[in-house]
Amino acid sequence: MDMKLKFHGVRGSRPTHKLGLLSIGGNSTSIELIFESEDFYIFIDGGSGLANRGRELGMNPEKNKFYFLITHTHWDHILGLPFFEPLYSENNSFTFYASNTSRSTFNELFLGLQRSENLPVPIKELKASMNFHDVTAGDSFNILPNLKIKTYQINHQGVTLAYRVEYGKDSVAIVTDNAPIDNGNLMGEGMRAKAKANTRRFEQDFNSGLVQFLNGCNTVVFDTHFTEKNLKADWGHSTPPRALDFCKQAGVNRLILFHHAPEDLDDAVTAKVHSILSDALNHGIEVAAAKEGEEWILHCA
Amino acid sequence: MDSPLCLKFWGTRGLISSPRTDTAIFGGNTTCMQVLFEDRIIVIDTGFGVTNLGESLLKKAIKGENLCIDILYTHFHWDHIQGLPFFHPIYFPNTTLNLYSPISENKMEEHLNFLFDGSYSPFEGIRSMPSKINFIKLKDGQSLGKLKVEFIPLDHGDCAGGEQSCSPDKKNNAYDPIGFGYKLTDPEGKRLVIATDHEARSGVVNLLDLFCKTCRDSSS
Repeated sequence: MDMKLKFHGVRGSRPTHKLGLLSIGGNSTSIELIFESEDFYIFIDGGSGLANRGRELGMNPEKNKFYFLITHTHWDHILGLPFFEPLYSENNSFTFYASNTSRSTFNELFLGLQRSENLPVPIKELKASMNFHDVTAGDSFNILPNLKIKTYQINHQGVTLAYRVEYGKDSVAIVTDNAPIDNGNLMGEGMRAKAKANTRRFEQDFNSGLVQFLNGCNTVVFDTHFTEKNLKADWGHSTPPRALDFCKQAGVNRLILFHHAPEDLDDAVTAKVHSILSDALNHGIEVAAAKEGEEWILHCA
Repeated sequence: MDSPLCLKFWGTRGLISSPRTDTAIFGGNTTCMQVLFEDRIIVIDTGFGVTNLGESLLKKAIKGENLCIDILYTHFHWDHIQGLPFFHPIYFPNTTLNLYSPISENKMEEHLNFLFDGSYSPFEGIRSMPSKINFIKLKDGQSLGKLKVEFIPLDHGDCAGGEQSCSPDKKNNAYDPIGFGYKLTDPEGKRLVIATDHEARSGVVNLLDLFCKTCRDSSS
């Protein structure tokens, strides 16, 4: 009755192929949650890393039920979806959880990926059955009685959702992409309107809400695209010390740095871990950098 | 004496990037090539490989140098265009991007604009980019500096009707091809043909063969 996590893509912005970063991995974001005793697969986001997993699974994998939790619809998080082989067999069923925005629904954007001018495979070839659920930020839902998903709107363009998944005693939260909200850097759809009366108060509530959301979580996977030195706050991404700060307040066991910048070679990613390592260990928090192909067990201590 | 006509591969992969240790020799970035001739910057397709070309131009862009970049698109499938929003020069007002294809300017803009759409990206359309972007419907035999550019429609699975419907007779073109091959000829008559994403079915094979034939004497 374990829940495990496997990284298929750890890179932010875009996939990148360069010598010096292939050991950590160059595929854009895709995470799988593995439940050996259940009859389904769960994926968080469908960046380029998802295509490799799709090739492994083939059109007729061992299990035929797929759940996708989509954080948001920027290219790096969805560009692998049309290349996921199980979508092309009528034996498989897919349930997508994603947030619609004021601009468009996830369903429309998903079909837009198959636009005939941009992809040689016509939409009618997507033979799997597909359901689309519009998630309102803050919603919780169950996939099984003992498998609960919670959501929280984080600070990034459009509506971007953090997901917390609880399976029995195991728990994991995925927080990507998320910028520091301080000093009026309100990036998410609807945030400015809500903060109008009192921006400072809104920022405090956002931060304490995120701490609450992560509270007691075994493992937190957090967007640390930038360092404090090269942070561009209005680009919608965070840094290792800021990720650690949330984890300290929330009493998290393990922090995994994620959404590595495409220009960061392996050394730069490792340096990000080192930059917060002693602080983390002093607070009893294990730190690592997400690496493509690596699996993690998500037991609560 | 002109510089020799050279080709540089920035991205060699089709469909989707494949950054893996076991693809390290041939590369994992999607399609992008650069034609090196005179001082012009001529690019063919802007898959993710174009990001590394962009990095190589970044210093010049930061210095405020005027960059004029010609980009020829073979077609508009994701793997041939997706790197454009990550091409550094596009963020500099001193950059001019001339985007060429045999299809109409409006179609070109429509296809590329999806990359900059506010739902798929943090941008507000390709027109919101700081550089100057020109969409140019390519004329057959048009010149880019001293290079002559010719094109031929290819069969990217869309040319079902055999030789007739895939006629290279552009005046009476009965179909709207997805992809095009290019032939670049330098003043000495050296030629380079790019024909990617082509299904080698009967009919078109012969036409492409004709298109390429004159390359056989060429050392490029």
